[in-house]
Amino acid sequence: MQDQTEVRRFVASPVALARPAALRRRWRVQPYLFLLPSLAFLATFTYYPILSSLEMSLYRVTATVSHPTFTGLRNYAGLATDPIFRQVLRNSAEFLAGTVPVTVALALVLALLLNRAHALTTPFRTAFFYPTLLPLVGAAAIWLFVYTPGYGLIDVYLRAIVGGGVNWLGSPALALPAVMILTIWKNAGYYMLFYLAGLQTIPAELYEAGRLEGASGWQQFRAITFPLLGPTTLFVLLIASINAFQSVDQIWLMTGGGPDNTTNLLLFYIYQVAFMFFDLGKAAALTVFLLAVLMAIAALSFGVLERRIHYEV
Amino acid sequence: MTPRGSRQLVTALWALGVGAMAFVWVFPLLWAFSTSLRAPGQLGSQIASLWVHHPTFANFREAWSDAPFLRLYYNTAVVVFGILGVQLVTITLAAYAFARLQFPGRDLLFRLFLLQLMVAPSALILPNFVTIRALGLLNTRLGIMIPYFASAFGTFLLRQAFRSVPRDLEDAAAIDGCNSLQTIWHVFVPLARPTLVAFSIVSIVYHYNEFLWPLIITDTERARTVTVGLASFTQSAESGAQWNLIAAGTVIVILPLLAVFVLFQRKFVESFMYSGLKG
Amino acid sequence: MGGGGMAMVRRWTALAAVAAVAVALAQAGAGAQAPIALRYYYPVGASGPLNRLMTEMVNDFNASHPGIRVEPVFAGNYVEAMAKAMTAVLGGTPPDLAVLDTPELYSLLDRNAIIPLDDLIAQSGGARWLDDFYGALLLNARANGHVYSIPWQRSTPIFYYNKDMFRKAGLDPNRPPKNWTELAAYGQKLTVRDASDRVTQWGVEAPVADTSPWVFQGFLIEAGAKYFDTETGKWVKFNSPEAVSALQFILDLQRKYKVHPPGPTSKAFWDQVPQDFIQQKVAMIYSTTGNMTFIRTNAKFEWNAAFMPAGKRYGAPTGGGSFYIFNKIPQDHVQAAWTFIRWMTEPAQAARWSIGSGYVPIRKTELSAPAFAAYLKQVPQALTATLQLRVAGEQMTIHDVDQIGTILVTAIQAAQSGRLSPQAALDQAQRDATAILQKYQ
Repeated sequence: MQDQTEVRRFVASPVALARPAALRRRWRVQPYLFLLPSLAFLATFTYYPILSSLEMSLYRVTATVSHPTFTGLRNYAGLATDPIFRQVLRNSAEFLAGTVPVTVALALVLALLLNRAHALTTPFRTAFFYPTLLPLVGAAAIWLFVYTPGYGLIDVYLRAIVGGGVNWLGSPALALPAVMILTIWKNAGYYMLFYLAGLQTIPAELYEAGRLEGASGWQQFRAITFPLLGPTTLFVLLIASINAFQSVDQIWLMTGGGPDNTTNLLLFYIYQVAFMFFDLGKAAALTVFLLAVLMAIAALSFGVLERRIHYEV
Repeated sequence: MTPRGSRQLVTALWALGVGAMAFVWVFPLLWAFSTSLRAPGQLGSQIASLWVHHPTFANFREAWSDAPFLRLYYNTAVVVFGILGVQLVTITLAAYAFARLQFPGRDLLFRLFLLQLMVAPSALILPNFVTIRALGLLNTRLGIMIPYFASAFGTFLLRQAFRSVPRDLEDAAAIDGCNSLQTIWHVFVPLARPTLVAFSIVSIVYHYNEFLWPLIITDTERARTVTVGLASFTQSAESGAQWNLIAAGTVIVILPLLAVFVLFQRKFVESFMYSGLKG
Repeated sequence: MGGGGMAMVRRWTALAAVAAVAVALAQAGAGAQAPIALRYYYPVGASGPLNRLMTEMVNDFNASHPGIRVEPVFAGNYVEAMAKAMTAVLGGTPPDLAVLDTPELYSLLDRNAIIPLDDLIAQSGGARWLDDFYGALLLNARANGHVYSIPWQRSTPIFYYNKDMFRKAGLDPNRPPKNWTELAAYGQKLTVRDASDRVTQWGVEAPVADTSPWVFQGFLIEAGAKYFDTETGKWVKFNSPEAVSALQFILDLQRKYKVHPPGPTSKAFWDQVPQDFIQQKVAMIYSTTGNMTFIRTNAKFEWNAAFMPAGKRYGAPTGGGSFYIFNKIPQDHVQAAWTFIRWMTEPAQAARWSIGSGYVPIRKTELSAPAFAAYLKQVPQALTATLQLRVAGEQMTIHDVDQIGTILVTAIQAAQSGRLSPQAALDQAQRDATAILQKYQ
């Protein structure tokens, strides 16, 4: 289908180019009019807040001072010496490293396993996909029980494997991994769909050719499947990384950032500093830091996205 | 063993292995359903089992009377469909401009749009909160909705779809005397329907499930959504966890979306797949 | 940029304020008969039995006071309710009154958000009226010689124990542990291990730190620690030898006697403790009086409530929320808010609230309200909490209390996880807290 429209487009474009220039000039303001509604909202709720965070981060704005006072880079200097901020960075990095590769790999494996015609394929896909539809707070409420020591699901059913009485959410070593497991469970099915979509675009002839040459399943995966899924992998990695830095609902509900700040992630810390401690200047500095991280990922990924655009068009 | 036999064996192993994993995946949900049906007094270690001896709706009755769920559902519906309605207008116009019109600054503007994909509103809770407060929109449904009225994701998806609309159809419409808006409405929108449906489903799911932003913006049930209501179940300030009740509350909150999903399973899966394929 | 954004926000805020005033004037002109509408922030989620009971009481008040209409705003838990109220104050549209976590006193004063209640109290019978409230509950209502809050939903952590388990372990079910030494000894008798040395029943569970160090403050008071400035809320002393000994005792319960689950007491642990108790996974727990109704309706065994075992002395922190009236509201609103507070704290209404919610009685005359006397017959354990109030100490009430509370929680959890020694953890907390309190010196 894609190919057909492609052909039609090529046939059609010379016509477009041949249209009278006057016709197009008459509408010169029109594109901007069409963009205006979107741009107005983007300006107010994406661009302006980026700038206002930058500005607010240079002020001392707390609930106790009635008038913001300019303090230059004081808030940033405060972050540099804030041990909790350092821990939050470590936690966020750990969360990123612990969820993204595992989720993406799992998604790929699931997609490979479920990319076949069988009566059970659809129910299986559904089973892995449905967590995507649950509100994260709802999922976290259920998982709170999964992790309860003594009579929670893990303790009752996995006692033999994991050992009993493990206090998952109370242990500094296990609390973050516990939150990560929930996150992986929640997202793997979503990313699996991207891979399933990707797999469908790989022509079957390639595999036939591979088989004729006597390539094993693993060799075929390495030589054909994985390289051709490259754009999908990059795309999924991008989404998963952005999601990792914006994870907060499950922290709010399950751990409140504890114990001993071991599950405090960047966005939760912003929430804490802004809406519990009312240190808005510091929270703005944290926001600027988060934006810098996200922009860095964005800069890396514009290349990826653009390549993807070429693939699709 | 015959090749056929070994193929059957592989299939059986596949069904068993993947089936076991799928079971692990659905177990928490099944547990939530069965626990929500367990009588409030029935505790002990059977609380972890899936089997319910004497199912009862008592938890649902209590949960339902504990929170104004009808109001929360109503707010959620207004928020979710309100966002979607405005988004469909803004993304259609913007996508058309990016897909079909030539104008100075197009690429730069497109990149500016894409910025929202990376810097999602959830990262901007603090500055956006300040803006919403200044606009006097705290504790209103509009306050929850307004940061999402523009969607880079939707614009991007739809631009792709619009680009594959044949030029000759567009030209035919122009010859018939259609202006741009009429052309969009009569030519582009119908041809991009699958994309619009896909985007709508993804948007509805995302905003139905949203939590932190409505939590921060709202004070009262006047504007609160179901996820915020659910959280207050689990955060009863000074009492212990009442799992049966929490499970019932969770089921009440997740059921609408799950029900729609079961009814339109194929459409959902396709939509999310499509959003990945193109997004 | 250069101040543009901030200025814009301020302009909008000013505009909003002007609009609010205009609306208020229009309403005032519309008719003197219109009842005074009071915005009342109350710390409970959009759901639950407390929400229902509070709604009923407010409706009764409104029905019996045609000149006043109280409009409750159910704003979430204490932290969220405080955030919402602060947001309103900073936005120039303060609520008229609120029930907020009592230790927020200085946070509210620092933001110039509340008014002293002395004049209103004087109108209502002065000291004689005030003296009917339990003294312990008023400890953190006072600052700079003024009274700023009236107790409402007050609680205190108490000690619950499973009498059946006491019997099984050969202990006298009517003699709960009196002090820390007995607690440890009882704990050892009540901790049950299976053949593979796995614990099947814990001796004791104390959620000393979840997201607030509330229960731990009981141990601090029992250890005789003077851990904060009760006069002006400007300093803390977390690393005194007494404070270290309190934390050390917690660790001893976990590591030396092995009668308490190991590791940090987390947010989830707070909810788990009463559940563990009714599931008979633990023999003795520390939990709020607010959980008594939950335990009473769910426990399938004989249980009792007792004082928290003593260290050098008996002790427990008070807790819970009190009524505050906000600054910069019209004088007739102040009067109306006071009428509402007076009505709510009448012995009959207060008793209705205590019985329905499980919070402790706030006034001495409340105990003799007929409904409460009947309730005590049914639930004699409810008296324990009231009696414990006589030995209760003040809950930490200082400037920036939320932030400093979080620092103390972090220190306790760091010691429980073994990352830091009790002394090092509390030294660190002391340094961090002092740095924050610097600005008030």
